[in-house]
Amino acid sequence: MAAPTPFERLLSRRNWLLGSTLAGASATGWLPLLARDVGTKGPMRSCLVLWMNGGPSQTDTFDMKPGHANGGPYKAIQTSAPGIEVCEHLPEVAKWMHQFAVVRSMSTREGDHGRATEDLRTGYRPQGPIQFPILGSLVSNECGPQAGDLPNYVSILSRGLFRAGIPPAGFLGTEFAPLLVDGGGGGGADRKLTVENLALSRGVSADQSSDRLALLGDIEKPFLEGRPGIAAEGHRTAYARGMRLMSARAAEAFDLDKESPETQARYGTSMFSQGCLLARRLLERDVPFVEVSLGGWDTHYDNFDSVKNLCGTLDKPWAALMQDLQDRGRLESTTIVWMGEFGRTPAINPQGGRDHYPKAWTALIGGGGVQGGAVVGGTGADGLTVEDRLVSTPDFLATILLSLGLDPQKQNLSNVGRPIRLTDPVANPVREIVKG
Amino acid sequence: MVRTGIAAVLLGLALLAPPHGALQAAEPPEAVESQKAAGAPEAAEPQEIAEPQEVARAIDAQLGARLKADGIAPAPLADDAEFYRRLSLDLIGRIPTEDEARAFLDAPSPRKREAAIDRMLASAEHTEHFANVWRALLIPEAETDRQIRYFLPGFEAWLRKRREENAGFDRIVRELLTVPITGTEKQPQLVLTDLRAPNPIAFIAAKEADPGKLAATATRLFLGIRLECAQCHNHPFDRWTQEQFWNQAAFFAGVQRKGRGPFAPVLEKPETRTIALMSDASKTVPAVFLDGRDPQLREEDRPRPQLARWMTARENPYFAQATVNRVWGQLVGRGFVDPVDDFHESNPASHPELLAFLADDFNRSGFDLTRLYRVLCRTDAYQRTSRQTEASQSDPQAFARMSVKPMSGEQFYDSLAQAVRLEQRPPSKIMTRNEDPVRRRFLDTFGPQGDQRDPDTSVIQALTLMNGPLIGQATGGESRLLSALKTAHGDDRERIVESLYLAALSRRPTEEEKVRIGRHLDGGPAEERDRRLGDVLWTLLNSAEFRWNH
Repeated sequence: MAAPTPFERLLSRRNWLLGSTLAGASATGWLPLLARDVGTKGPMRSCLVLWMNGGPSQTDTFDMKPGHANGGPYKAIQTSAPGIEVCEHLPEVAKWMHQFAVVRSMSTREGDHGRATEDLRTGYRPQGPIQFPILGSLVSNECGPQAGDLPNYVSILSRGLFRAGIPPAGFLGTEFAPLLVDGGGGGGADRKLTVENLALSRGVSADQSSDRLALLGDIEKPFLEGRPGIAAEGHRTAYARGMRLMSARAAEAFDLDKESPETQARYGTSMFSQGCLLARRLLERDVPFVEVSLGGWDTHYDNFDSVKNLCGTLDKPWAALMQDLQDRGRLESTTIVWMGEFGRTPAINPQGGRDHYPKAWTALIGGGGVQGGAVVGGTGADGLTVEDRLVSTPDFLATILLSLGLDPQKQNLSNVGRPIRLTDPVANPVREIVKG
Repeated sequence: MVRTGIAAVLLGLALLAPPHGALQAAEPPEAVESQKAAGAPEAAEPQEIAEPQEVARAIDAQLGARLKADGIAPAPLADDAEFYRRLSLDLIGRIPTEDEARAFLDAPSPRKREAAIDRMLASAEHTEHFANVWRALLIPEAETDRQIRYFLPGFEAWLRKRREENAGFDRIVRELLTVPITGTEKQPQLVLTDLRAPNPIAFIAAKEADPGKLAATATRLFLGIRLECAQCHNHPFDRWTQEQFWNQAAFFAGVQRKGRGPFAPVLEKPETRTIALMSDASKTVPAVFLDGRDPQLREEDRPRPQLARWMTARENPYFAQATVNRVWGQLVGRGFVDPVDDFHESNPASHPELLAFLADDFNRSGFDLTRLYRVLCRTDAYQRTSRQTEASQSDPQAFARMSVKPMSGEQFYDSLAQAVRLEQRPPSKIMTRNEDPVRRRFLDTFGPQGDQRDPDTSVIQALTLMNGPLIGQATGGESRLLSALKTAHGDDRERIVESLYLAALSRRPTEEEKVRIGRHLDGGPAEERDRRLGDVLWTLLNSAEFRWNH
């Protein structure tokens, strides 16, 4: 094991914020705050969401319409699941379809990117001042406070998904907000995924940082002790979690250079590839909710070239991730979801594009908690309408929660003082694809 | 008849004790009408009222009696430094400068707190802070929708102008709700014509000219009643029905926009006074006030002014109560009714008589906000320390000590910028100051985190403050503050540390702190001294004491 960094020395040497010994800390300090409730509840599985920002075209990916005018130029190919065909540009993912249920009957209510994103990520329509948490924050909350160095919810490449002014964790509070990992500034080919501000400022040494933190702990101690309550607890917890993230062990989780060149090559070099590789590193370190975004699916113009390119970006790293999860025995303990905020019109517009289409589209759910190789619902020859087993937003989110081993009917107390269920009680989850 | 209608509502809502004297203060509706006909201003005339100091003492007496009955010993008053920092954040939206803090602490006047309140209320920074606070409440959509931000210079200018003239709050609300819409079906009205001219039209545009959103927002913000949940169905916990939600929306039913997006032109058909239910479009409901009264709209009437007049009428008990409750909540951290905009039967006020008393005073003053701030800031309740001196002070709604309050993104950025002497650029011609890229990025990280009443720190915020470039530069070798202090004080370490404390925490360091900081400064060779002074500033800026309004 690597030599402890000054942070780790600090964390183990003293109870930084309360200024007492470690023994005291374990009884009254912030360490138990982080360990509270662990093992008493929480999901049985981790969740990985591959979020296709912009709304992916189902007709050119997982709900092909060969032979129909709406079908577009691409061929459908056989997959590892008998009877399920996918686009020819997803040859690697095709080998994993036996692990997925293809929900071809998604039918949702919003056709505007912002509103649809909020709908699909929270499962609720706006209701005045109620701040609905997004799915990742709900799962994060079910896990209880963060147990180790890593947060419960990491969101990769999705800065655009989190709109300023909407707290993602809603009424659950920022403790359950995601840690964002992004590509840093600039658009060069050597961009790397980083957690912003995780590294010390330029010119600040680890020893200096450690001294500073010790000074901070002493200086603010009387102030915080004089003002007990959730604000003080939240402040301590946030700084403690920030310091834990800065520790060598946590930082190592985010360091993709720890992977062999062969492994890196299997995933590829795109930002999405790096995101999938990072997701695997986090999942194998028991982070309960990880999402990786891939944007560019808003193909109003030139849909077919765009989708072909996007499939190229998606195919290899997703398949590599599936392989690694299987090889490391993690497939059974992970639910994997592929989705966007809506689908796209089956009809092709005059610009060779497809427009927003929430009425009938496709999402995938797979992994340990799901009956793989299944198809849910269907859209008929032209793809325009759902022909059976319509799956609404709450239906789909409740299905994800069930597959994780969570109860969608569980209630949280909201900011308006009313209990709110994890998913809208109207939800009718697709129980037939959830394994017991 | 009006009085009976209101009285019936009051009986129906036992928690809303009628403000003392509110019914006597009622003007007959004809008077309002005739004033309007004569083109006279609609502002309510102030009545005979008590001195602010007397009102403040009366508030404290009521709170004190209750504390005593509950066996709670209130915390002592804050010292000058704690008080002055808090007042500055609450009234002008930033911490004091080092010079301001020094001057206030060293001033001998026994009435300096009252003087500081008056001085800040008269400042341009106060009107700007007021505009920030109410823009965030009225147009939260601007946080997510960049297009709406083009409306903000004009909207904030309107808020500032009205606050600067100390317009009655009733007038501000009436202007907002009755903003002229002259567009017609044939010739809809452009909403964004002059970017900087004071204008509340942003309210209509941001709510997508949607009658339900307009009615729900107005009812929640100005009457403290959340009707939204009744939009789709009758809620089991609420007395408000779905039909009543749509009755309110019907006052805005003629408002429409042509096309999509916030820039779409708008129009109004004042003859439209009914609206279809969302759940059953075949059923339409008319415009009816929340107290059940029929507005008796004549053909030539416009429905919006009728609603605005009813909402802000002296006889309407909700308006004054909701407003004083909100301002009290902004200043003291918790409303008597809390959340401040959620008056309903199962959420009663902590101090119903006191709330009614304050509402009555606000009502009698002609909804005078300056007077309201002056009264509330003079109370002991506002001036107590936030430090808990007895365990019994833990219930924030007992008001036995000051609550710690979160800072808005603007408050925090302006305080930080001022503490470290960061120069802020003036606003561009078409956007507000908030759209400066550095400021915007900071606001996006530290901006509104929902309506949490307690300060809330995220890991991302902690990392930004510990390692981010803004504080890194401000506390490193290129620190403007440190180089200025070295120029001013040379090697006088004690004076530099005192200045750092005054600049960041608006107070002088305690003896213990001086010792602890001395130990840090002496912890290495002489050439590290500047760096170690930077560490001290870093520490102060990362402390909860800097991060919170306490």
